[in-house]
Amino acid sequence: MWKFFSGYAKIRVECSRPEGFVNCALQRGAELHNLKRSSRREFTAVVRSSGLAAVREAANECGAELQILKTGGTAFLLRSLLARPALTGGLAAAMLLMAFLSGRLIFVSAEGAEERIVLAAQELMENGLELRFSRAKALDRAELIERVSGLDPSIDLVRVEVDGVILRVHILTAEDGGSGEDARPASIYADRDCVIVSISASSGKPLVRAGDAVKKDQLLVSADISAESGGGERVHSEAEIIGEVARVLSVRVEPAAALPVPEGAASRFFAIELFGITLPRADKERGLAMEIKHKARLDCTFLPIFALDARSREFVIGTRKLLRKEMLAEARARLDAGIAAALPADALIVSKITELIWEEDGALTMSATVHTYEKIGTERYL
Amino acid sequence: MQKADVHESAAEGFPCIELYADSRAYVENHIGVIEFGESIVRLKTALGILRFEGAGLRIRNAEPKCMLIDGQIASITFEKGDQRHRGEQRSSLCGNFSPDMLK
Repeated sequence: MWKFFSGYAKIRVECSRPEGFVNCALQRGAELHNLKRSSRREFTAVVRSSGLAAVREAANECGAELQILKTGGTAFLLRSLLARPALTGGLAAAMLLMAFLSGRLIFVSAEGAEERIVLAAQELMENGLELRFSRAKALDRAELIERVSGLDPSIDLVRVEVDGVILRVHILTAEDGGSGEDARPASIYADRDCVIVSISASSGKPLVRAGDAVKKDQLLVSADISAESGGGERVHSEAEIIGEVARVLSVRVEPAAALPVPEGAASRFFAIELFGITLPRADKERGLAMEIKHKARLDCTFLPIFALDARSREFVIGTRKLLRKEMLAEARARLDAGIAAALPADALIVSKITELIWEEDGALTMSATVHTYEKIGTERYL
Repeated sequence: MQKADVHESAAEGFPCIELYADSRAYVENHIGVIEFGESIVRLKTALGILRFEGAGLRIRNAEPKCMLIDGQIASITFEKGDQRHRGEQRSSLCGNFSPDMLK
């Protein structure tokens, strides 16, 4: 640590008697550290920047050759900065400028409403209130909100946000759906059959409790709170309702399916395989299947080249009877895809029961009963 | 490095040696360096030449009055031939001393 703050220099000294140099330097008050003898006439050491002058004097007196191998630490950094006044001045000016600007609003922006209002608000902030380059702490938010709100009668809400040197003003109008829609009285109805797991109403009158089985379109939270207040008042109902929903999905897989099968007629051809690649290539998509009858390495070359005696067949679409394993895999894949499509994104699966029925005609019917916890309720305005 | 309690003899200009196991020695009141290398360090003191022998010896800190030596110290000796005793010899580490004696 002292090396960093006080500055240090690593030196190499060469003289006929290094011990004499060390004594000479010590007599002048220098401190030497990590003395390493590299040869009879030579050693290296570390000295503080404050002792470097004494070491230089000692070297002159003893006739030693002094070489500074490395310098470091704050003292040498400051010395090098002082040796470059232009750079130091520029850095100091930049730091002062940054310190001056860091507490001020450099960027002023308005957003959120239609362009006409945004431009007016921008003009007001820059030229009317002269907020650009003003001190952030001195910003009068109440005045700013009042002045911006007065620009247009359609402005519903103004939000001011200071983010470092950036001032952002968010303007919301009634057309943006800020608060007008939520004020209209609305009730909440069940959008599917379920059993209520939990209900938490922040406004409105809840008509069901946890454990109740409800049907689709049943009223869950009423906007009419007249019984509570006694004044026929209607509110916009807000509630978080979680219900357990049961769904049954089933798929049927027939025992036979249309699949590409190789045709009976075949044609013989020769091919070459090089580094595992066969030319010409078998291509199922183009309807070609290849059967290799014989494979022999070509000894005339060092490369792994094989000659193939092959037989090609064309694919035709035919009906093939599926194995039970294939039918099960097909049914599972279709059922999983159906469940994923039927469930809402926020649904939590709590149980899933799968049943298999092998029909007399060989078909497979797979059905799944899935129980989920999910948000229930849809708003209807009165 | 913190100085421990300064011995009475150190106050009078005699050398005071603090030995930390066999790897580090702190010498106060030396007069100068006679010789230093990886296997030997010789310091001039009021009681004569103080000789450290060992392996990988290195002067860690050299100050006008104090010296810190580290490395594998095998022996510490006062060279009798060059001794110039002045007054009573009160250093606890005068004469031949070896860290092996502690074992």
